[in-house]
Amino acid sequence: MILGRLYFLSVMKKRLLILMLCFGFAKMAMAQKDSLALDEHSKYIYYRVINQGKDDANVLLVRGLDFFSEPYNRDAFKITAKDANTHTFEVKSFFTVSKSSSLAKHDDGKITYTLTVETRDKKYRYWLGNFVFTPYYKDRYNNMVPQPGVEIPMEAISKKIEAREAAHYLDECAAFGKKLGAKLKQYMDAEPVVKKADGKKVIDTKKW
Amino acid sequence: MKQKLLLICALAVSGLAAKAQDSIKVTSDAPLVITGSVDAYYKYDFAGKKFANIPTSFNNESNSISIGMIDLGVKKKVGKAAFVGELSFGPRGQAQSLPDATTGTLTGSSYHIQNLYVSYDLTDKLNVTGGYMATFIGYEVIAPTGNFNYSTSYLFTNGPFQNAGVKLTYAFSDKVSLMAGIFNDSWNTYQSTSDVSTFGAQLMVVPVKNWTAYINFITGYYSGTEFDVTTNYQITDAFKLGLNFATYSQPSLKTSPAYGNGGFTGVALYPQLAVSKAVTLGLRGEYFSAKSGNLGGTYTGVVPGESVTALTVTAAIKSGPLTFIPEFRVDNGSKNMFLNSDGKGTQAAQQIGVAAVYAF
Repeated sequence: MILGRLYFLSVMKKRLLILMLCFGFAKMAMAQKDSLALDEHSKYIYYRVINQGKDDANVLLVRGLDFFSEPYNRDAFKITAKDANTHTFEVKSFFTVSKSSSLAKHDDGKITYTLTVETRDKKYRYWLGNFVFTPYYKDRYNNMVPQPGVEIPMEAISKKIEAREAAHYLDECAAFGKKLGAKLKQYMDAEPVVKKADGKKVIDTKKW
Repeated sequence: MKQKLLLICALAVSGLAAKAQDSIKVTSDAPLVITGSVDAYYKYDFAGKKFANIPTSFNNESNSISIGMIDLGVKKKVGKAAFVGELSFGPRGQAQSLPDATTGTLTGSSYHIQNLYVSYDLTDKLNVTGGYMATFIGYEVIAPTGNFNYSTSYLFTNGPFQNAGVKLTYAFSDKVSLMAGIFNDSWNTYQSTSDVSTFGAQLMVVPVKNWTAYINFITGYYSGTEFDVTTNYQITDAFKLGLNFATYSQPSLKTSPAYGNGGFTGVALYPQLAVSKAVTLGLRGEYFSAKSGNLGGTYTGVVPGESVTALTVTAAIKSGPLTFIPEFRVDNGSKNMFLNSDGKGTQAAQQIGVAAVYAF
């Protein structure tokens, strides 16, 4: 009888611990969720200043431009402006979003944006702005495609679509800004790798 | 040994992670894109009878709570190659629109295929697609999610629904593209009757921002020739105007050359106004005329030489993935082509209904 109660208590303890851990993780996840800010023109932006701490402004500018010119990024990202004097460049791109209520996950719209990057010695800042949402619809061939002629600035989205979806898409903007920023930081921090033309590693066997 | 294995696993995972770190994903990474819809409706015919007075393709069961279909589509694209498979189950997606696989008629259905094709991007601008596809002709489609109105137009019902074939699409820019293809001789069938002899082409142009126009042409000795213009113009944030014009020539029957030689001409206008973020109101005004000829039949009740004018008032009320569609429709023929409550011929018919469409 006593053994049984002890066993029951230990199981309950474990369950409580798991619950507390889950709760903790949920709280952490909530705490980590980024959100958009408003700029001086009352437009949504995702803005971050990064203290890189190593390289000068020119190196950071070249590295930033290289990142968006890499073969795996250049189809999706178009560098639309660059200025060596102000150490600034602009990129236009998009990302797709899914409805929070979708049973099956598929692209339900795309959000276009402009990314601005500005570098200084040992630091840089970047911000995503000019977010515009275009809903997708299923065409006759079973493809999810942009609805022609519908472009909704994110500042007006809550007036055009359901409040829950509008809030979800705003969260997605911030989440994408965070993801993009993390990849950019990784690239900015790394020493550039000298690549061979054919991309293959060449080893000189005469040397050790 | 266990530790070594763990270490190897960890290294392998970190290697994969390093590769994944390089690019920024901008589109969904779903392994298989799944889409679909479910629809059901109630319709009341003002003549109070069970017969389908107004010959819409779907939404045709009067005084009944009826089902449309469940539509299930899957798509996958890997690199340049893609496939689409879309199946439907229910009256709308079976006997009311798709041919029986064995008889080629609409009397029953053993397959329920809306789209089944593979495609390949030969270059950035040129794509080849082959299989059984929704037709490129016309404004309206079979899937309820693709239409604003729940009942369908005469132009839709009398045009092709699907075509099996191979087509090439070249995108000159995002404002102009041209499709040309060769299709089975008979429309709406999974296999040809005799050969692959129908030619089809589509020119897509964006004359000004927010205005898209499709100029379509399909011709073949077996199924006839249809010229079709389909266009949509999002004039303001809230107001959209669509238009469909088509003219069709029926070929003479090889076995009985005296028959055929008819066809139809029609135009439909689709103004739609979003009055709130949940409600859009729309009209469809259609004029449809059957050409004179020895057809030996009618175009959904419109005999050669006669015409019909149809006005449909529709509201689309959205709540998340669900859309409620109340609709009122009145059709007025150039002569008696409907039946009144006494079963006598009359020029006009009216119906009212409500549909619910859930998209996922």
